[in-house]
Amino acid sequence: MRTLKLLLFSLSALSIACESDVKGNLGLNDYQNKLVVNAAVSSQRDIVVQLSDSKGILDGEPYSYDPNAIVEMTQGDQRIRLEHTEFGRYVSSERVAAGEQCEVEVTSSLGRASAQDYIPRPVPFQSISLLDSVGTLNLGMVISQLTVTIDDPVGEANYYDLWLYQLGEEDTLQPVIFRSSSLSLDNEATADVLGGGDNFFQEALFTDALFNGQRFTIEFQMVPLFPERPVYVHMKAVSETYYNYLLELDAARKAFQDPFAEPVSVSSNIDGGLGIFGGYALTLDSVSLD
Amino acid sequence: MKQLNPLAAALLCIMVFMGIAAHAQQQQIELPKLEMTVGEIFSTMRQQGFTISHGNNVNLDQQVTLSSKVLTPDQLLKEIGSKAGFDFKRQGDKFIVFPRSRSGQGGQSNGKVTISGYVYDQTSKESLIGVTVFDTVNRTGTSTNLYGFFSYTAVPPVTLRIQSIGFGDTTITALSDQELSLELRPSASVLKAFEVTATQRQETQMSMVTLTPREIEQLPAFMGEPDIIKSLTLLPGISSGNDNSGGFYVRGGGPDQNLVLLDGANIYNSAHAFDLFSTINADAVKRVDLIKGGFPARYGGRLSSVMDIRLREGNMQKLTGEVGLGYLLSSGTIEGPIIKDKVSFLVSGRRTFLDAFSPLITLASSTEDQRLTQRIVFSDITAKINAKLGAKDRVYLSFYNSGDLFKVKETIKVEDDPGVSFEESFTAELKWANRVAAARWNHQFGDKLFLNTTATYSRFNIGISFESEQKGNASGTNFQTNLLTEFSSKIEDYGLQLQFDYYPTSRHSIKYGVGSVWHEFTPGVNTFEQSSSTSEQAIDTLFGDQKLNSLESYAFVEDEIKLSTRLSANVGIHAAGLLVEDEWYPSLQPRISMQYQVSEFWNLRASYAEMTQFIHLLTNSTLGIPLDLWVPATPDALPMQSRQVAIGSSWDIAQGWEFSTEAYYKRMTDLIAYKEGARFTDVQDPWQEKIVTGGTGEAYGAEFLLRKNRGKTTGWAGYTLSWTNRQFDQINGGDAFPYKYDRRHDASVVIMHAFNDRVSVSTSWVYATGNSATFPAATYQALGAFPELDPDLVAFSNNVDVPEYEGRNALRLPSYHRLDIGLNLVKEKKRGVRTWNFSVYNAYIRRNAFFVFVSTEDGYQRSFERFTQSSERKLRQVSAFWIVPSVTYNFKFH
Repeated sequence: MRTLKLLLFSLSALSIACESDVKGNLGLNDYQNKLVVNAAVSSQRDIVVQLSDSKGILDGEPYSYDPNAIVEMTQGDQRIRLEHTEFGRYVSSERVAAGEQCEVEVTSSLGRASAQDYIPRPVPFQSISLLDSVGTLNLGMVISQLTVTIDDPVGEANYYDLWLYQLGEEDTLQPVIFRSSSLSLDNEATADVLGGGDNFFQEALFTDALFNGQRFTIEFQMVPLFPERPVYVHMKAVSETYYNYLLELDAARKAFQDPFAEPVSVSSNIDGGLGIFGGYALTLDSVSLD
Repeated sequence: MKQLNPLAAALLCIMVFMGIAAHAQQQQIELPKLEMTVGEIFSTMRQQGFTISHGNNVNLDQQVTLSSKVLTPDQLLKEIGSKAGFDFKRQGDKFIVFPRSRSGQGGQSNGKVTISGYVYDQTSKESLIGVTVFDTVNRTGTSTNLYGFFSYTAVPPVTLRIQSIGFGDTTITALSDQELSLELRPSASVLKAFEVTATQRQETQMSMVTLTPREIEQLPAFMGEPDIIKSLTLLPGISSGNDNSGGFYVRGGGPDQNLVLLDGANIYNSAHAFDLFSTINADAVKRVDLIKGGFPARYGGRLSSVMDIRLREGNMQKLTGEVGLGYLLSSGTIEGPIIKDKVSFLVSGRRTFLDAFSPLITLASSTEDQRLTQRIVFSDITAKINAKLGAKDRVYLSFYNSGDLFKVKETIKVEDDPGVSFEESFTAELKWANRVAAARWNHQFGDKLFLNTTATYSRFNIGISFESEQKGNASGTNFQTNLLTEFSSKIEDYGLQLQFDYYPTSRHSIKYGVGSVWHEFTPGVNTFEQSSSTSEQAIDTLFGDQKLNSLESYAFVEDEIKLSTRLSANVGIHAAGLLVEDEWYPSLQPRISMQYQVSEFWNLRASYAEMTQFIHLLTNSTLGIPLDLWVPATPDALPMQSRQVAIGSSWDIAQGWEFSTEAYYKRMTDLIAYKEGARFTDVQDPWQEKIVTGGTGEAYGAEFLLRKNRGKTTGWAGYTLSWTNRQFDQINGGDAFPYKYDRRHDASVVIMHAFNDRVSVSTSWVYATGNSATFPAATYQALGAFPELDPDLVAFSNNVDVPEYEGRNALRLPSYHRLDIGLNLVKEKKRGVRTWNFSVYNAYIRRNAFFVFVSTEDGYQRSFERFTQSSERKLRQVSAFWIVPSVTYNFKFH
């Protein structure tokens, strides 16, 4: 952004440019707010659906929510009614089953919306290990190697979203950047933060296209922030719909920061609204650097 | 009052007329000496106001002894003709000299004669392009080629009328084969245009516009500088993006789809300073042809247009020059003979002096702790040498170089705490450059065959860099860190072409040839350097240096055929192929255009053309600055194709008035574009992985032009109604979307008025529907990365605001329109001609949107971020140009 500001200043000074209001706002004031439904659903946790609304680009109001919406989840014969807790958050302590489709229906002041998705089964780690100080990077950063083995389920396409993180001050989550030569990732690398010209990632989005139904070992080279603290391996098996959403969101997040990036449109599977209703199964484990 | 007797009146008129004629006949020529060569005598006659045209077979070096130093022209030519062996014909003060041994004899065995030769500007001896050579008896003819050569064959007697815009005409009559060297005198009236009627125009070419420097000079000049491309965008079918967008767009095509040739060499970037000025210096240009459709077979390699720019050759007679001084751009041109009548040169250069204003800008924008400096400079130089090696050979060397630099540096100083001083500077730099060279050899084989051989070199490179430096002192210890990131991209071409012009009969004018271009691409190289005084380790890496080469070869043949007195056609085929990464991509491109002369003043035209483009331009769709990458067609990005059909008509509706209209439809396939989220600066991934392919494009519309070419007031009104869209399976959900430069309506009105020879004014008004833009209609909150976790545990933002787009390029920016006014004050001085130009660009201060953004209370921010409190949001626009007055002083030396 600073770069853009400097280039634009240069352009402005060069061309005696000026800023002004756009007359008529090009029709952007005509936008009708839409219902936004965001939910990641797993068989392992309470069901949480977050409702809010979209706001026109020229609307300066914060997002709002409807505390009186009717939110129901359906799986087979099971019908679950979610209750509002706070700030548009609808919760139920009942669980859905993995390996099946699930549907959500919302009726709110902004209209009706629905979506459905598949709830994956968890994919456990067969093994996880950590080797300290396997190498150094530019400017003396120490690299550790993390090895994770999984058994990919047979007979179906599987999609994975993986993060590495540590808990920092006040136990807040701090992502750990990593790279892997054994994975073919679908998302873009984080910018060359370490200046080594290497591709480091904050998040790994990958499919089982190369190891479908097989035991697969992933090696990560990472740079821990806190050598004395454990590293958490946070891997979600996600539905295809949720996976594609995460890819688009990853691209959009990177594009926001770069004035030279092409615009990214994030798709939605909410019929009658915006957002994502995605199924996942979490596998979480940690390993310490000794 | 007594009436004059009619008979006496008639006799009086006759006597007056005869007296005038006799006086003309008796006008005498004063010669410096009695012993002179034929060439010296001809020069003397020209100096005294007579026009002498002769063929190459007149021996100019022959020495003759005259009987007197004072003779009438007829006496003189009779006398030297009897000694040197030639005859002559007179037409007023024009004389045509031809060898006596061939007069009334010869010709070809079929009874036809061929008249060939060159046509030149009498004052400078520059060859003239596109001169009409019209057979007034057979009502057909030809025109001079790019080197001033023509050839015409017919049954004698042949009377040819030679005429061209801006020049007086001449007529010759031939009974036998003739090789001529004709000279046309520049017309006293500045725009003596379109006296050539529709019948006499010999080109079948439709969808073409031609500009000469004289016409360009009459148009309103931006900042006092005549601009070729800006002038062309005032005509239907050709649009500029918007202020500062760079490039030009023809019939819905992208900026990469225009083939811009400078003396046959390709120029990849046609804009200085974000389209402030064209990179082509109008002072050095002889002629510009822009073809929008119905492409002749000799052209290929681009889908949407061909801009063929021919440089002037330099005055072969005397040293002349021109200086232009403006407060933003200045220029200078010098030209003249190296060897008179044999070798000439021309050098023309321009430079901006915007960098002279930098200290003022720094002073105005800096504070005690923050300093902002900038440097903006661009320049170009054009040079040419032209040499006649003999009657049949000519060599040209052309060179062009241009460069642009934009540099901004921000320095911040902090000295809050005692014992601690800190300074941070950030520098951003953007630069690009063109370099072009061409060497050409013309050879004439007999009187019907002409060869041009051209070798070319072209290079275009861009670079952007960001440098950050931090230095300071803490507790007596100095520290410093430096970070530099550079991105660069380059394309280089080496080309060779042979083209034959063959004129077998009066009904056929055939061009054929072969050529090859070797392309070297370096689409993107990233350099990263980092060093710190606190660490011994430094980083210096280079990556993304992926070079690609390709060989583009082609052969073509086209024939301009006079099917009848009313019907003519240009039929041809352009066969091309690309060799890249061991893959061969052939392409056969038929071309046809036809003209039917309904009457002397009305014609109908139609054309069909297939084009293939073996090179792609990856264009950033967000910022309209020249951060574009040229990449070759590869197995991952196939060559683009287009098919265009056009129909049109033109009428000379009254004396000096012409109306023309054309409708077109163009379909493009195998287009490429950056995929969503792609960043051109990210060269860690090959460019092939950042694109989507297999796109299609459609463009169609109608163009209208009403033009007045005579009188003190001239000008035109043009209007284009058009649609253009694109479709990619991976963009916009696979739905077609408007192309960024889809402009439904595009209109222009240009009026030029010459009060007299010294004072002229010009105005131009342009209007266009606003460009399409991708802009979010709304934002909403997306699901964060860890929805399963307690949000308080996540240190970074777990929820992200994302934009909702209603479609790619779904937003229509405000309409664009502006008025430009220019005033020229010309005065003849002892040593030359002085011109003051006063111009106002955007005279009624229209704030045309360059881009729009959402402004929040904190100023220019990401429009996606939404606060928990209400905040005012406004849609704002940045306009590139407000009002730009300019004053330019120009002096042309005799």
